[in-house]
Amino acid sequence: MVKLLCILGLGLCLCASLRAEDVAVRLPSGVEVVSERFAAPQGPILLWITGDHGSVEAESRAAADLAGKGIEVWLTDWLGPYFLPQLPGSVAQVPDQDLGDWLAAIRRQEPGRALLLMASGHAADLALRAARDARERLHQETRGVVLLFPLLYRGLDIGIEPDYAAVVDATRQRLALLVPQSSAGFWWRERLKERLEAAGSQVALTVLPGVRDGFYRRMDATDGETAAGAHLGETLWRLLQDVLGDIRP
Amino acid sequence: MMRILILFLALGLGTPASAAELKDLAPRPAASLRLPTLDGKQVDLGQLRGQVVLVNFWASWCPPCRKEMPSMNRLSRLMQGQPFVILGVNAGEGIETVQGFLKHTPVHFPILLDEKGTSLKPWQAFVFPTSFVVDKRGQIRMGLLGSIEWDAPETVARLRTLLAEK
Repeated sequence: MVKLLCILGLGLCLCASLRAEDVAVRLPSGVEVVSERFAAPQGPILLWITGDHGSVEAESRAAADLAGKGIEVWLTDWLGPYFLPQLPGSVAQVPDQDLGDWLAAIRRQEPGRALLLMASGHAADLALRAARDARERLHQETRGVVLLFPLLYRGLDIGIEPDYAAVVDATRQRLALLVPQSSAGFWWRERLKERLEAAGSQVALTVLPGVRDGFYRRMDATDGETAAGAHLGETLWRLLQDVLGDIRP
Repeated sequence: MMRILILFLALGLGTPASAAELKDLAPRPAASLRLPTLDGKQVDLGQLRGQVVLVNFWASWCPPCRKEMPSMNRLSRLMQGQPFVILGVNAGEGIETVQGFLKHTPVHFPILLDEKGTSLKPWQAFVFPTSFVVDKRGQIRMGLLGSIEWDAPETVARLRTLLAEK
């Protein structure tokens, strides 16, 4: 009977980590940022910035997978609190200070736990700005940042070599970049890597063959992309393990 | 809304949503372009002086690239008999992939294979599709990020203006 109760209890604990709860952080500016928290007590916390593309099932599944492996994940929509539309230009309207204050609040709430950031596409700018603000203004270091098919150009115009967002030259982080092979970004990945390294970041680049940008959230996903999306948690786990060193609790 | 997002994901554009526009550019010499076609012949842009050339960088996985191909076919037919050529430069894909794609989406203009993407840097193609219009003297005169209907009357009129130049 005791053994049965223990097994049931363990099962309940595991199930609890695979369900998300909403957690709200109110910032000094008055903005309230709400995250879906996939808990993994005592483990590092991966702050996954979303919002530029709506809620995506593959992200929730991946977050649950990672939590099951001991990495707590906070899926966080950063456009919603400002009522910003899901357009590329919206990320520029999120204040740096709010991003840094968010990290600081989480650090106070969860002392001693490593914080990692992750974002995709245009939201990559938010992740880098959050880490920079925390470091420069609050002297708090983020353990590392994962960028999935990052879109960090500062405007694009025909015939003109695009520059990168200002934060690229102000980032000094351990970075992991995941770049789909079927992507325009694949051809310019080394250019971005070199620019980030020139600013002082350590950059590990992983190319994912057979998929496009946003592979796990495309309406026109190929069979290969659907399969890759189903294994997103595994892909992110390997990326985190391979690139950011020992992040076990 | 989702279609717009997919377009921006495919293109990697960092600009707010707006229709793609074939822009006039300050004339500058086109970079060299010498690549094989599907049947192994070499096409050299430098040998096409005296013709107006539409150079289009594309990939089969790129939805806007696929979308504009029928209009490029129509443009090619409209310009028959004129000193006008379309070169579709496929970046990063092997011949079998390209041939497989073209079986379902036949085109009526030369497809050049750039499997290693060596032309993308000199031509500054940061998104797909990217297109340039090169005049008879080998100068880039127009450019486009994204896709358009290439046989739209106003576009054809602008191309005919270049054709009328000596």
